[in-house]
Amino acid sequence: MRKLNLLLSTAGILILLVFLVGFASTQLPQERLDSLKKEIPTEWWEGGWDKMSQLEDLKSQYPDNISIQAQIQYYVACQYYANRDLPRAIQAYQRLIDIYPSAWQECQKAQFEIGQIYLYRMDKPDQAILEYQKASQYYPKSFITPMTRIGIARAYKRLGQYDTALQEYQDTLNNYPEYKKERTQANLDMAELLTEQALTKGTDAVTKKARLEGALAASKRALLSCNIEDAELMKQAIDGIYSTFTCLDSNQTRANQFVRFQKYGPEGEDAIPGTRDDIIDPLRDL
Amino acid sequence: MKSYFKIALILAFGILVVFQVKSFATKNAQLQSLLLQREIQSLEIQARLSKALKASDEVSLINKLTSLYGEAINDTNSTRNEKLKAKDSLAELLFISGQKDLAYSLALENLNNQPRMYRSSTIIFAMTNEKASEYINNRQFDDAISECQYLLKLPLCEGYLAATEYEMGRIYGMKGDNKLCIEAYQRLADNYPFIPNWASRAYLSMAEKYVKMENYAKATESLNLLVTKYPHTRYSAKAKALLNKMSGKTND
Repeated sequence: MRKLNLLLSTAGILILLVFLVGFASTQLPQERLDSLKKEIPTEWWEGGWDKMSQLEDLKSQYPDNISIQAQIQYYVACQYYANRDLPRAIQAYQRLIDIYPSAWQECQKAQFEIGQIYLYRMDKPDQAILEYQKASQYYPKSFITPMTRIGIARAYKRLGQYDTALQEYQDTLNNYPEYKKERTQANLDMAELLTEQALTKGTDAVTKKARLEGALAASKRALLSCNIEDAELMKQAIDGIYSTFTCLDSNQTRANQFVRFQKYGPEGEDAIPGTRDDIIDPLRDL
Repeated sequence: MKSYFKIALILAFGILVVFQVKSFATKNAQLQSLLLQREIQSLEIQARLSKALKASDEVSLINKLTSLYGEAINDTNSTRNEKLKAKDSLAELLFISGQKDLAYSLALENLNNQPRMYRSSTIIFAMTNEKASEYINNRQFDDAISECQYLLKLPLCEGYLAATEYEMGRIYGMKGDNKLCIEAYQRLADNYPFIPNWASRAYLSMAEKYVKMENYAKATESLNLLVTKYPHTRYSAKAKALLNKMSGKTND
């Protein structure tokens, strides 16, 4: 009995030790990478950071860990992008896709970033469309797909193909209803495009009014689908509605009414229903 | 030996409890941080609406928001990025509420901690540019150029640096120094090829300057570069129109 107890307690302690050592060794590389990621600015593409040596160092320490290698390769490519070494950035993203296809989460982001570089940094919207299409084709069920569709729409806009761009935005809204942030973004983009078209020289009054109303409806949809954590998008939607009302009416009556409604709600400033300062939502009938 | 077994069990149980308590405390702290962020976001929108309406609660909202940003900056559970964002937003808030000197020094401090932060860059650019504009209005071009040179040394967002290079070119143009004007536009096109709108605008302005100098060969060269490198920018259409207008004109 004593021997059995001794055996059990030794086995128990050994299992505990193995578990702890195993836990520590599997967590270590990811934890190290995560703490490095925390030092990279949220808007990493703006530059102003340099983690290349730490990334390379980490990469050399875990040559057999594919997940770590793929994540590091992604950030190495991002570092080139942030440093405006665009050809090397594209090369590094492509290398990630070619060498670590099983790390699909990094690969889809890499494919998307290639599209972003062609569209925003190299003024090659045709090439951007091809790259975004690859992203949505190879990773159709990815969280990034609706954003790639928006990228395609923006590229068509850059090419001056406004109707195709609007159709792409509409397809994004129809096909990805569960993606609130992307829906908000697509609606805001649509509103901006319609407003631009409405205010283009030579647009007749009827078309102008129709486009501005379309823009207003899109901004309203953006406002309704926007989450509170997307405060920036919400501000854009509010600003969009305010300026569209101003353009449409050539005065600020409805624009101010909208802002008052957003601030105080239907009961108005006194928060009592049925009083003189009650406000009707000017977006109600849209 | 029984006691060894008991000790091992108690030890294992103890470790488990410590892990659970630590994980609960971390989760709770993260939740508090998240709630703080949400409160800030909600107040930011309310303050924006109040500002648009010039409502009476604007000042109190701004004060509350300022103290919440302070909380976020000092929150030990906030990440570095969250703290930086709070500092960037605080600088913007101070700027909007008229405390411009405070905003300026905080923005400078922010940019030293993290280059190219957007709001801080905007504040520094706006305030320095305002000063430069005053100098331009008083035709003190050298002072305006000094302001631009100061901006170019700061770690601002590249868009603002590109805008400053363009402004330098414009000021040299007004001053009548065509050589330095063209050099500034050229620097803009060379250093910021990844900002298509600014690079293409630089080529167009350079070409327009060459046309004024009746150097049509150089003007054509700039316009061709614009059309080839940045065919989809809005300045490309203008370049094509100018090329058509100039066809036939040469320096020979």
